[in-house]
Amino acid sequence: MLLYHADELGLGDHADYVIWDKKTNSPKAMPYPWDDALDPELDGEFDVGDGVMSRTAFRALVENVEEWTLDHTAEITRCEAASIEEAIKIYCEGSPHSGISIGVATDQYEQSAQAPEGVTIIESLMGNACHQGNAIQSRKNQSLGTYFLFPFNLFGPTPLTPRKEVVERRLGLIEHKGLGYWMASHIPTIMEALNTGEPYQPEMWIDRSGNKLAMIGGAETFLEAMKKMKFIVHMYMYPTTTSVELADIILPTAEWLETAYGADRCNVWLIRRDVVHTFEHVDETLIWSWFAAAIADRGHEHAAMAFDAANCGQAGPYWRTYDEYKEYLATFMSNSFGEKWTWEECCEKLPAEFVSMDEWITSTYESYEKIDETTGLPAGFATNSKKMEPYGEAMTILGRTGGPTGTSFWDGYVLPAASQDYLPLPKYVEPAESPLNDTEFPYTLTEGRVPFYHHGTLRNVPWMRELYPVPETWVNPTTAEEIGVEDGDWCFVESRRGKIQGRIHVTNGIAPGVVYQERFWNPELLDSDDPSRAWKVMNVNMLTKNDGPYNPEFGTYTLRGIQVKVTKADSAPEGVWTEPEQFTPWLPEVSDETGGGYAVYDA
Amino acid sequence: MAIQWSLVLFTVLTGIAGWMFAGVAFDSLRGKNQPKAFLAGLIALIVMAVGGIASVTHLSHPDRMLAALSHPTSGIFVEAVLVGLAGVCMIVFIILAKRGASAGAQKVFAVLGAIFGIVLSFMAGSSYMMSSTSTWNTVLLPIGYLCTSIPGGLGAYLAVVGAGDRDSARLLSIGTIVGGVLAAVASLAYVAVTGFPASAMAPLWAGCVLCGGVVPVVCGVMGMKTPERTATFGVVTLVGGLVGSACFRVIMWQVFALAAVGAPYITNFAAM
Amino acid sequence: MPSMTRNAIVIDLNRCIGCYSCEVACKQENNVALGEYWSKVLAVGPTGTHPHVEEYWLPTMCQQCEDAPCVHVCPTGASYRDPDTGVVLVNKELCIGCKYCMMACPYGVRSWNAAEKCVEKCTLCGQLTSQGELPACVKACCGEARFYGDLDDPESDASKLLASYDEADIHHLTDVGNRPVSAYVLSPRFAEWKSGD
Repeated sequence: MLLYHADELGLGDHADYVIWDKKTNSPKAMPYPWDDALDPELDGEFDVGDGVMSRTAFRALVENVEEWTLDHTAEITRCEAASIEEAIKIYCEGSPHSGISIGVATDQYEQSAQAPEGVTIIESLMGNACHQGNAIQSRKNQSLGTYFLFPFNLFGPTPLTPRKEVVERRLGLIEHKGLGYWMASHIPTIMEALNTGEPYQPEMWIDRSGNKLAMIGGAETFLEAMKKMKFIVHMYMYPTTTSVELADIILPTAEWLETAYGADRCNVWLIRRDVVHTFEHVDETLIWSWFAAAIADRGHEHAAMAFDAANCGQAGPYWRTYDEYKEYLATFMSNSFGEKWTWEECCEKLPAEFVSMDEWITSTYESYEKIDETTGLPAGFATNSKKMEPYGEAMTILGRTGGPTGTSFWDGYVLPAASQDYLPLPKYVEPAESPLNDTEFPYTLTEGRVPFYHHGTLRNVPWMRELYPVPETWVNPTTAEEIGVEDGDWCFVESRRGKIQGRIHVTNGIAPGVVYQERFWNPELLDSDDPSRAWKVMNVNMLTKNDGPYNPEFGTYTLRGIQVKVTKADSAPEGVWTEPEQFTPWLPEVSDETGGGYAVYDA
Repeated sequence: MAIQWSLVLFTVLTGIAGWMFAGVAFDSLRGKNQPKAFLAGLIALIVMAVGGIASVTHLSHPDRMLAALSHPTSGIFVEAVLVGLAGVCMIVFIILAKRGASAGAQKVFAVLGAIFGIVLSFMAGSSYMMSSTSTWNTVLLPIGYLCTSIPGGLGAYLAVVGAGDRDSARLLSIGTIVGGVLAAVASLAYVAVTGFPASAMAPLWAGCVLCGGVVPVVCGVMGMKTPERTATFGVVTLVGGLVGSACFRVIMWQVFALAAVGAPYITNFAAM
Repeated sequence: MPSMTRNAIVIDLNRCIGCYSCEVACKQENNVALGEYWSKVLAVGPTGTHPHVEEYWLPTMCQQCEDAPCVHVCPTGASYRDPDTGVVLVNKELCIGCKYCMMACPYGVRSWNAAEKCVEKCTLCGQLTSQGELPACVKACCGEARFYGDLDDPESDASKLLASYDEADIHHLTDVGNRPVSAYVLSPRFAEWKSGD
């Protein structure tokens, strides 16, 4: 296609794009879905009239990536050119039943949008969507990525839809419009506001996650900024360093097995019943509801409206009791079966298939070809053109307006543009700290998950610490020799922002010049004269950075892909527990049964 | 593996007791040094008993010990029986010696006790010959247990009887020389077969070869030259033999290794 | 006298993802103390030179040897084979704590219970299997890689798993004459077996 909409060249509607027709040697509008009379040229640059030259999108892509030969790619990625080529061949020969999956690693650095853009381009070119074996599928989930407690504006406008000025006040949203899909704010912009008071001074923070001080990049600067909040509530299952360092109030919440919920997986609705209660804790859903109720009782208009179904659209009103909440869950889940069950009935009937596995699997295959009854044309994809869009003009529209269709996600406002356009094609950018030129910090740090821990949790579970007591610092044998360390040695890992410790694990599972360490915090250090050591001594987020450059589209800072140096240390940080028997104090102790969560729910 | 000291003590002491009693049997057959027979036999019995008790301290439930007699194929059973039999022979011998009774019966019980004691010094090592291990599964191990017991045992006997009978002193001094050589060679042979692991080298050379080999040889030679100092040299030989014998057993625990690829998978041998 | 049943666990390493659930489930079910283990997962590898590496996980436990050395060396008969189930067990009331069985086990899969001062090891969860349930580690395996049953019964889960593979993909830990009954499946397309015969 040429980089114009048909109406811009007087060739047709805005929704139609323009191709260079080989038969007539002229630009032509390509109607949806296709016109066999036309013969589009994939690659070229053409005069679209009055000497105005336009490249095809394919030509634009080629020029965007032409420096990336196999050898140059091998050099920068530090993979072998022959292996890259073999992978490409496997992928291409398997198409259109191939797929590429990217993980959290690419989410956690400056080019978090560009990585999936690149993948989408490749998948589009090879037709790898909605066929058996593809990563890109179009199955109808029953919930929204397992969430079925919805914001009021998710399904269209309601009386509780936030006003435009409220949406625009979300810190960092205007600059990083991608955050609008998640209704999220930008962490560094919040920190900036806390530190400077601009554009306004945030005052209160209610946190329902475990341990921001272990999880946020550049944790030390985060702490200093957060201390400027006037009031901080931490709701969690047990106190963490966030509770100790920052919270004014701690509210005990229930863990997964202590809460009622559900999940749709493939073609099955699974039910999660609260099978145990370890102490008097509350499902966080009710805590949020009770906040709203408390504010409503004090005259807050919108909070009061949130308890009236008439105002809440498909999301439904907030709940005052746990029973009400469970009935909401039951209604939502049983709806997939065309029924309305009570929670008790769900407990009996679920897990159950709401559609056959075969139907669920195949529902997506070639679904884009299915005829849309209203138009009589193929349904296509959920894009502006209904086609796969390797040339991502939608990203540019997102940056200028708030959404790929020209208005913001969910609310439909036209928001002020970001300071720079989001590009329709990805371009590789060398990270701010690069192994190519950093002599002081020669190794690249990456992180990742181990099976024993999840986010900030489980560092206080004796059977997990027994398996993996301290974060390992993984280095390749060549790198270990350079540093002068052996397997099991304690070490220092240092970046421009901080210095921590880890325990060396020499392995061929990591490339030379790259260092891996998992994020960690040490609960055993909380009970001491200096509890802040708990999140400092072995926490990789003392090293990561939360300043720019940010990903333009989502504002991502760099958690993976910063430069560090590693030196040998004599010992572990003082007080850190490493031996199985040391975790004995954390073994469970039986206490009196006082009613668990229901002592609170029913109070 | 962590050194199991109570078992080291058990095998060192019972080995020395057995070979000390071999000295007793030697002189009993020749009818020499008989005024010292009771004392030497008693000391051997005490050393045997102390060694036996040491083995019990290795157990966590010694009160269940009698059940140990229920499984005849286990090496522990055989050792227990041999300790018992050697001990009984020693008791009978010293009773007879004390009473000056039946010289013929004394010889029988002396020889029997010596045989049981000598066999025990071998069997104490052979219990460890397990196909599970790559470093213990060799007959050179019990041979080493036996040979390293000789100098200490004979030295202990000489320390008691001295040069009471010149010929006995001379012959038994030759015995300590031969014993010293055997102890050193057997130690070297075992450690060689296990591949000269680094952890074995110091106890091997300083303990087994020097103390358990060279010292008994030198003392034996000196004893033959100056027979009036036989008892003194006997004491030094005893000490050297004790150290050498202990070092051999320490080496065994240090070099413990399982034969199976990847093993041990679960057992924390270092903490044993 | 050979046992009429050979109950054991068979593990499909092609499916084992190294999640360690089996190791933890065993501890929870059998109240195994911190620092002690009846079941332990080892990572074998990565072997090779980066980036050409391979790795597999090896869950280990008592291999239920047909000719169990731990039974031979035990002076009290505390280490014995159950005549009905064929399972190698420890009668903790008879154990005198001499630890010979720990040295005699070719795989070092026996554990010292410091609180009770006796030897322990995998019991194939007799308290569960006698009720018709599966051993805890088999239930917990999220990769469905563990199979339990009598290898002399072709209908058992363990037998059926082995029958579904070529002989060449079936492996055992090093046999030093003890004839381990437990078996592992590992196919070359995942990794080369390096853990024994």
